[in-house]
Amino acid sequence: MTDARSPDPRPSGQGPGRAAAAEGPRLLDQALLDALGEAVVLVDAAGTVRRVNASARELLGDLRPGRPASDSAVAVFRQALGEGRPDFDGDHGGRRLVGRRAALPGGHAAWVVRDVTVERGREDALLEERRRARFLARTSRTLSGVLHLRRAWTLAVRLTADELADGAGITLRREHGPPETAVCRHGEVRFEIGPPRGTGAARVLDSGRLERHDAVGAVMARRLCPPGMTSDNASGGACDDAAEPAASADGTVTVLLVPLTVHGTCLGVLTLLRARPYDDRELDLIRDHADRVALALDAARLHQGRAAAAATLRAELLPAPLPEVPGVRLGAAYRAAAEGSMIGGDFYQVLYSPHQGWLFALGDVCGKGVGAAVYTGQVRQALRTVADFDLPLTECLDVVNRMLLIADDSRFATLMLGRLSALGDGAVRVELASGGHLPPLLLRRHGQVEEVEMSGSIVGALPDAEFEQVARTLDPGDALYLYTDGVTEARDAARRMYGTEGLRRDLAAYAGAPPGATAEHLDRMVMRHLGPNEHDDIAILGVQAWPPGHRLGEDGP
Amino acid sequence: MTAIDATAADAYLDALTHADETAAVAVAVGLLDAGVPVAAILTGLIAPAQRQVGEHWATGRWNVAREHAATHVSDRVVAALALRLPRPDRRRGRVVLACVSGEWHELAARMAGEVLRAEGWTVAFLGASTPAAHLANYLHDLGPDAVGLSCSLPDLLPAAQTMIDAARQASVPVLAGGAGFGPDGRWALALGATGWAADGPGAAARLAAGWPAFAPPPLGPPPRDDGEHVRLAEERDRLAAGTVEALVEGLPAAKEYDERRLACARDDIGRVTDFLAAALLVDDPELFTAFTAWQARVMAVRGVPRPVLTAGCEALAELLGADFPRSGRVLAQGLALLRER
Repeated sequence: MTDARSPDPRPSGQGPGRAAAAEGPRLLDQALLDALGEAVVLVDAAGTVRRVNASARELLGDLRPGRPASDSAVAVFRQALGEGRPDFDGDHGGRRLVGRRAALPGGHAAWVVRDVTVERGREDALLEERRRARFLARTSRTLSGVLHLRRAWTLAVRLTADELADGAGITLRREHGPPETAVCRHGEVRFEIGPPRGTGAARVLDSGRLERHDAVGAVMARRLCPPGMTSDNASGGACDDAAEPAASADGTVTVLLVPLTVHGTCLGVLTLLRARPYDDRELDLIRDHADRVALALDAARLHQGRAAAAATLRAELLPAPLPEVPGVRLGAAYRAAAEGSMIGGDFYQVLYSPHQGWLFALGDVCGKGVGAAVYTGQVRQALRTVADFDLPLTECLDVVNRMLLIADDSRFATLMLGRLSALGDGAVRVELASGGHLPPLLLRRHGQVEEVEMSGSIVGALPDAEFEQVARTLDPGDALYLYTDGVTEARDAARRMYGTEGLRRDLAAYAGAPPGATAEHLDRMVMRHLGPNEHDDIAILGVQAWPPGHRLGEDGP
Repeated sequence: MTAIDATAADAYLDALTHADETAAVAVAVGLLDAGVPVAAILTGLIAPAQRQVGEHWATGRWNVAREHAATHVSDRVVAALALRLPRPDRRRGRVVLACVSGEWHELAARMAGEVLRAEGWTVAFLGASTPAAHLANYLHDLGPDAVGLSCSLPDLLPAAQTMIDAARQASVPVLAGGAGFGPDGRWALALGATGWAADGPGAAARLAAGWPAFAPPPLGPPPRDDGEHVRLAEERDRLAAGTVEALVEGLPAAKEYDERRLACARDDIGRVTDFLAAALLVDDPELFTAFTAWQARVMAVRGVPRPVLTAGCEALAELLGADFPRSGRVLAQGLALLRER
C-alpha cells in the first residue's frame, strides 16, 4: 500500500554538489514528486526516462533516468508503451498496478502508476458476495411461488445443475415406497426410483450429514450417486455413449452429498457432481442454496398433501355434469363465493330412480365456505335416499327434513325439489315442492315470464315442517328456472339489488334459448351488475321442453 | 379423408341459427366419422361459422341472445367432439387454459384446447372468466408447463396483466392467445407473457418451438409507471356517472330516459374508460382508436347516431380534465377519428 511509505527526499540519480541556487527549485520539485503516493515516471519524446519518484522506484523497480522506459521490468507497462496505449491495468509481482499517461509540453509524458491491490481485492470480494447473494435470491424467488412438488423439484435440480455443478440430483423420501430422484444431466431432467441401499446418497439420507468425496474414479462415483447421474448407472439398460460430463483430465470427479434438512428432519439429499473439487467458499454457498431448496420442497410437499385432500372434497361437493334426460334440455350455472375453495353452500342435482323417475333439486345452505359445502353433501345424500322410495314430493321433503335434523341441528337449507315427466307430444310435466325456497320462474317460448308461487318451510330446522306441491306443463320451448338468492340479492356499487325484476327482464330476452346459454347469460348479468363487489354463492338450473323442430334427446336409462 | 364441403357448412350454420345442438353435433361428428381430423373441423367448420355468427351480431341481424345461443351450441359441439377423440400416443407436457377474468367468450380457448389435446398435450380448461386467485390454485395443484390465457378484447388487458403475474409467481411461462393482445399479439410480451398465438394451431406451433421450462418472476422491482391507468380504473364508475349526468343536461331528449336507459349509457361510458385504461397500460393509443372505430360501426347498425358517442366522449374528456393528462390525450385521438368520419 502506497501510503505506508514515507516520502524519500533524495534527489534521484543526480550527483550532489551542483550549484545550490540552480538546484533549489529542482530539489523542491523532486521533494514534491517523492511526497506523492503514486509512482511518477517522466519520459521524454524519445522514450527515455528523465525522472522517477520514490514510489516509482519501489513499485516499478530498477527504472533509472537516462534509460529507455521500455527496459522496465513491469510487463504490463512495457506492453502499454509498445502498443502506444495511454493506460494499463495488470498484475506485477503479486500486486495490481493501474497506470495512465499524462501528456506534458515538449513531447514529454508523465506516467502515473497506482497500486490498487487492496481496493481490487475488496471489490472482488464484494462482487463475489453480490453474485452469491443474487444466486441465492434467485433460488428463493424462483422456488418460493412453486407449490407443485414435481415442478419445484424439477426447477430446483435444474437451478443447481446450471450454477453449481456439471450434473445434479435431488433425492426425496416418499411417504410410500423407495425414495425418488430428479436428475439433471445434459440439461434434461428425469425422475428415477432410488438411490438403492448401500449407495452414498442413501447413506446421507439416513445420516443427515454432508459428505464430500474428491478425486474419485468412475466406479466409486457410481456407488456414491443416485441412479441416472453417471453415464453407466442410468436406468433403462442402454447407456449413452456420451463421455462423463464431469470427468477431469485424470478421469476423476468430485461428488458432494448435501442433506436437505428442514426443522431437523432430513427430507432428501442434493447430489452434485463436478470435475473440479469445491473450495470452502463454494461449499458455504451450496449449503445456503440447499437450505433454500429444502424449505421450498418441504412447503410444496405439504401443499401437495393438502391439495389432494381438498381436490377429493371438491370433486365430491361440486355439481356433477348434467345428465341427458329424455325430452328435456337442461342447463345450469354455478359459482362459489369463495373463489379459492371453489365450493359453496349452493347446490343443484339431477338424478334418476326407477321409483321416482327424473328428479331435480336446487338449494341453498345457510352460511358460506367449506362448512356450508359439507352440509350440501348431507342434503344431497338425503335426496339420493328419498329417491329410492315411491313417495309424493312433499313427503320426500318431509323425510329430507327429518334426516337433516338428525345430521346437524345448527344448520338448515332452502330447497326446491321437482320431478320431470316427458308427455310424449313434446310437452313436459313438472311437479314442484318447495322447502322454503325462492319461487321458480317459468319462461314461455314467446317471452312471457311467470312466477310459480308456492309455500313451504325451510328444511333442517323444524321437526313439523309443512310443504306444498304444485304442477305445471312446459310446452315445447317453455323453460323453468330455479335460482338461489345469490342471484337476486346481488348488489351493485349503489347497493341496488339485481332483484327478481332484473332476473325476469334478462330471462325474457332468452325465450326459447338453450337453458345452458340462458343460465350462463344470467350468471354474466349478475357479475356485471355486481361490478367489483364480492358475490355470494350462485346457482341456476333450467329445465326446458325441447323447442319444436329439434330432435329430441336420446333415450334415458 | 373428406373435405368440409359447402353442404356441411350450410347444415352447421342452419343448426346454429336454430340453436339446435343435436343437429350441429350430428354434422360435426359426421365429418369426424368420415375421417376429417378434429383440427380441420375446428378451424374449417366451427371457426368460420362462428365468424358468421359474429358478423350477424355486428350487423344487427341477430340480437345478443341469438348470438349467444348459437355460440353455446358450438361450445357443446366442441365438447362432444372431445369425447369422441382417441387419446394421442405422443405425450407432451401439461397446459392449463384459462379465459382472462371478465372474458366470457370461452369457445376460442376451448377449441385451442382441443387442438393441443390432439397434439398430445394434457389440457385442463378452466372455463370462462377465471379469477386470478382461482388460476393460482390450479397452477399449484397441476404444475403445468404452460398457461394458455385467452383474451378476445383489449379492455381486459389489465386483468390479463394480473393473471400473467400470477402465473409468473409460480414460475410458469404464459402463452397469450387471441385478438385481445393486439394485432400480432404486440401487447402480450409487454405484459410479461412468453409468447402469443392467434388460435389453436398457432398455439401448438409455439409450444413446440423452444418453449422454456420456466419463467420465474422478474428480478428487481417492477418498472415504474405513472399509475394513471390504475386511477382511471378506480374512478371508472364515478366518471361514467358524471359523464352521463352531463350528457343528460346537454341533450333535451335524454331527460326522458328511464333508469334502465341511463344504466346502459353508464355502462357504455364505463367501457370507454376501460379501453382508455388498457391503452395507457400498454402505452399504445392505437388500442383506443381501434375501439372507437369499431364502436362507431356497431352503434351505427343499431341506429345510435354517431354524435351520441362523440358527445359522450366529449363529456368524458371534460371530466378527465387535468387529473388524467395521458387519458385526455388518448381520448382526444379517438375523438378526432370520430369527428372526421
